[in-house]
Amino acid sequence: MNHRRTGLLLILPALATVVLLFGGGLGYGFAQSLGLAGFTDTPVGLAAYQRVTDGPAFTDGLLLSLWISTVATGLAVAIGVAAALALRRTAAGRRTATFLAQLGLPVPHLIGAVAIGLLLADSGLLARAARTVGVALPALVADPHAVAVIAEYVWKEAPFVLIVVLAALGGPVAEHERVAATLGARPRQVLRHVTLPLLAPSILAVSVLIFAFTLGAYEVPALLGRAYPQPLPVLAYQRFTAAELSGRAEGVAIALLIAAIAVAAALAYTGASRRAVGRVTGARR
Amino acid sequence: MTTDITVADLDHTYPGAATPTLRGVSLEVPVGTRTAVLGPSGSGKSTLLSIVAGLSTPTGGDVRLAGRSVLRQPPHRRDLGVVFQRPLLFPHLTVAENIAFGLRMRGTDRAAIRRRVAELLDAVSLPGYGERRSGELSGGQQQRVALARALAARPGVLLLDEPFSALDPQLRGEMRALLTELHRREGSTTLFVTHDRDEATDVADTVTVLLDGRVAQHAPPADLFRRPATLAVARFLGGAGNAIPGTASAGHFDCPLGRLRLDTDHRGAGLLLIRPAAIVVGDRQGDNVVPATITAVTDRGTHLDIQATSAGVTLHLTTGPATPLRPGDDTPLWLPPAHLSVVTP
Repeated sequence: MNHRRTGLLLILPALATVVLLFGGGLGYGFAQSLGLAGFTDTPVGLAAYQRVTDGPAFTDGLLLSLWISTVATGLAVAIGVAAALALRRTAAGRRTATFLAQLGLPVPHLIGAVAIGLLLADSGLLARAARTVGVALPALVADPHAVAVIAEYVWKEAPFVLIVVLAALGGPVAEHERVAATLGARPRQVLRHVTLPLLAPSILAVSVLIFAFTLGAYEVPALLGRAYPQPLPVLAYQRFTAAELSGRAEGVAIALLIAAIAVAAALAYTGASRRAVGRVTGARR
Repeated sequence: MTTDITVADLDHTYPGAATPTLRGVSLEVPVGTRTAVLGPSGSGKSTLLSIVAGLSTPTGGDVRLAGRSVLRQPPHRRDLGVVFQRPLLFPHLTVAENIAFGLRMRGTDRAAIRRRVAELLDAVSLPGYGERRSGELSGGQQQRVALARALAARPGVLLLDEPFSALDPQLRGEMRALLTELHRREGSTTLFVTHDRDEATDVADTVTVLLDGRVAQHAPPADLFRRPATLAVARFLGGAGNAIPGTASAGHFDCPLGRLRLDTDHRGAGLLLIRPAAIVVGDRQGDNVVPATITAVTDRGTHLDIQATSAGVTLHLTTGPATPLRPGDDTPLWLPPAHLSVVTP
């Protein structure tokens, strides 16, 4: 009992900060979206939510957002995991991995987006190089499949996955792989039955981080995306900065819907990871 | 199918190391037998095992299983079972799935796997533990599962790398008995690496002593103690307490104690070795009986440590705790010929 009270007191400063900064802003935003606060002409109630979800712009934006996040996460994880497995064997490989990560991680997404734009745009480096050899590339920037947006996310997040997976591989994974080999498992079987299951908790954790981030990030699709459909964060920002008074409430409403999807993904992750971690650590489910 | 193991003239030097870890190691483990490789830490014994398992590639020499060189084969093609110092059970699998792992990788059918797993769980005295996870087992139980897992696919060769050294002493004894019992049932040719001489002599029918990367002696356990091949082997086995300089000839050893009868191939100057526990106290007539004076008696509880002098030579011996001897007593000591050996000084 005493312990519990001490613990509570100890986390109080951190808790207060989080509640004030995070909960405060979120609460105020929520109130605004309901027409309860702020400089707005939105009637009290769910009117803002109804207005933003009505019509194809929201549905198309939602589908585009989910497409970008899912594909970017999948590719970043696949590339990062494959690179980690390939590079871990040698000291030179690990140095390469660290170097790659150090190269990409500190560069802001905005700069990354500009760089990708310069490379992939219709008038970009790649298109011009292709044209000199007589190949006409399809549109990669502001295209229907958001190739440039996804490319930027993968370029930025794959090294992040690489670092996380390399750290996880530093544990007893290699020893278990050796045991599996002595038990007659071929390299492919070792990967499928030992390596990947042991890495599952780390892969899941890094996946949900990337998914939630890409779902809510604004600058990359704003720079590299099309005018229509627009992914939800771009839609939210445009509504929020629109000339009409009602735009504020609508912008916040979209932002909160993005947050809701991210929270749902995080909850799904928590369930999945508890199962995966339970399998790996041997804790009872 | 059980397999014989041949290690031929194996050399190994780790990259960047100044001295080799293994030098010209040769070893033969006949089908269905158990050989222990005994050596202090750093003697190269674990390296030897990992080369046989295919986890390291030697810089020279050959490893043959069933007469065929396996150096070019990766571990999964060598038909092995390996038990390491730590159990290393797969944490994402249950006990039964761990034991079944090797069979599953070979595509054995489910019913056969179930039967084999149940049989092995019984054999390692863990019936009913199949659905548990490794984290729920004690260290000893985990190592028993690791043993069952290594044996499940009936490998031709079972390799054990200090498998019991992380367990407490009482448990170690039980595990040795279990291993002997399992070997009787399963019959896999067993190569066992340990630094514990009791473990080596308990479990193996032949012991190879590895010192500084070389085979120092290869003999049945009893011979190892009675007839150590070198002073270094005797020291490692704790049998260099009495080392008396002298000269060996056919059937005899001449030293300050007189002419002792023994059987040795050694000729010329040498050291006579006899273990303290092999010296017999008491009235006796005949060969190899020397008069001695007791100089010190230390009661160790389970036995007496006694020092005696004879013709200026100090002898160390141990006797039962109730032996009525005191410093100053004169007593004859018998040095049994079967327990005398001569090594190069």
